Amino acid sequence: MKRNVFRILILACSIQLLVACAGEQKEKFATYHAAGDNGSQSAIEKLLKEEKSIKKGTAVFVDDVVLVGVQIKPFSKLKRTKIEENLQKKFEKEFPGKDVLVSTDFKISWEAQKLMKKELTEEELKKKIKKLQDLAKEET
Amino acid sequence: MFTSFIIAFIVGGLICVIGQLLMDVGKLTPAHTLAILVVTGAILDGFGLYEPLIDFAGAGATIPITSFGNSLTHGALAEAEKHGWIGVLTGMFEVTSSGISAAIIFGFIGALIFRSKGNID
Amino acid sequence: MNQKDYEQLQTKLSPKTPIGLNVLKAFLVGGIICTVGQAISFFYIMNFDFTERTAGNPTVATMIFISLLLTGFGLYKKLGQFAGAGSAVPVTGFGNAVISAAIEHKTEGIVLGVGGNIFKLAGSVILFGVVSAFFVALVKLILVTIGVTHW
Repeated sequence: MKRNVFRILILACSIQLLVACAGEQKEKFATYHAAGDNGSQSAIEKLLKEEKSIKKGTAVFVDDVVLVGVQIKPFSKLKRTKIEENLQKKFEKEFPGKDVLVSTDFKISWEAQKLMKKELTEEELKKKIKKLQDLAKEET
Repeated sequence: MFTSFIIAFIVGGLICVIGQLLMDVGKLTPAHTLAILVVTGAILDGFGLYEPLIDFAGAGATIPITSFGNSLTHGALAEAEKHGWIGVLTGMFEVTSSGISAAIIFGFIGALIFRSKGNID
Repeated sequence: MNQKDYEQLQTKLSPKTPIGLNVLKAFLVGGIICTVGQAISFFYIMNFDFTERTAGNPTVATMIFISLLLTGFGLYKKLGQFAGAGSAVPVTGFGNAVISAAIEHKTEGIVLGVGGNIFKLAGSVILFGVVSAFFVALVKLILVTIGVTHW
């Protein structure tokens, strides 16, 4: 079964960046769950590793939608909006033409991690990602 | 995740400490103190300082009454940005209604259910 | 004895408020209430469709519901006597002010008693909140229109 033809699942590339800080967290290597497109994974991983204030990053991508949920270290949360805008620009530059959404919201990151654990079809995955995108834009 | 609890504890506690100092040292009544805190929340949001505090402290900044002033101002500013002058009036209660509505509704329910204690306060 | 002498006598004889202890109690109780709020917030985020931003609404509603129970059973008053600002500053204090006013005046009827007095204690909060939000937004709008700042 050719991967290119089916492209069933490009699930989630959970990049657990637990950078050691005061020795409280161990460094974990990235866990891959993806079937396809390994180039994007390393690009995303590199981008997230560059940003020092990120505690954990979870990226989910299907076709031309990229959803990145990041968790920021507590004391960097004061600059949350700036970090989010920064990352959004970086990802948009990295994946032009794709629908990129970077969110620092805990919910998005939490849901993305949950998605990674399940095995979903492409349709269901797209629906879930669309739901998360709408959720991220809600104001009240 | 547990750091967020500690930070919420500290920031929420500090805002209450400010209120307590206003009451003890400033000799203000609780009503005066709360009014000052609400106005402070509104002014801080005018300078764009309260939202980062909420990002940092979570419930430590949204539970104290200062967040009332912040969300009233935030709603007014958001609508003013979109619709100009009239937005200042229309936007105010867009984000805040949860607290005030809940208080009124539960107040009514409380009056239905509970007996008056008849205090000599 | 004239006014001044009486005032001096009054300050000398009245017990001093233990500011340090009050501050500590306010810090602890206020901190605990906010921590409970944070836990409730996480509960809503993880089990329902709320983001960090939107979870404030159900959290506040839940906290006011809790203050309904505490006020109705007469417990919030005791907490207030212990903690002072620690119980008055959080939104539960606002809820308590509204709910206790409603309960107290129910004997005068729903329309005149409850309706007429429900905002007795909380009215100043709403008044000053709205008015200050208005002026802050107005000032910012003027500054943006002139061009001094941007949104």
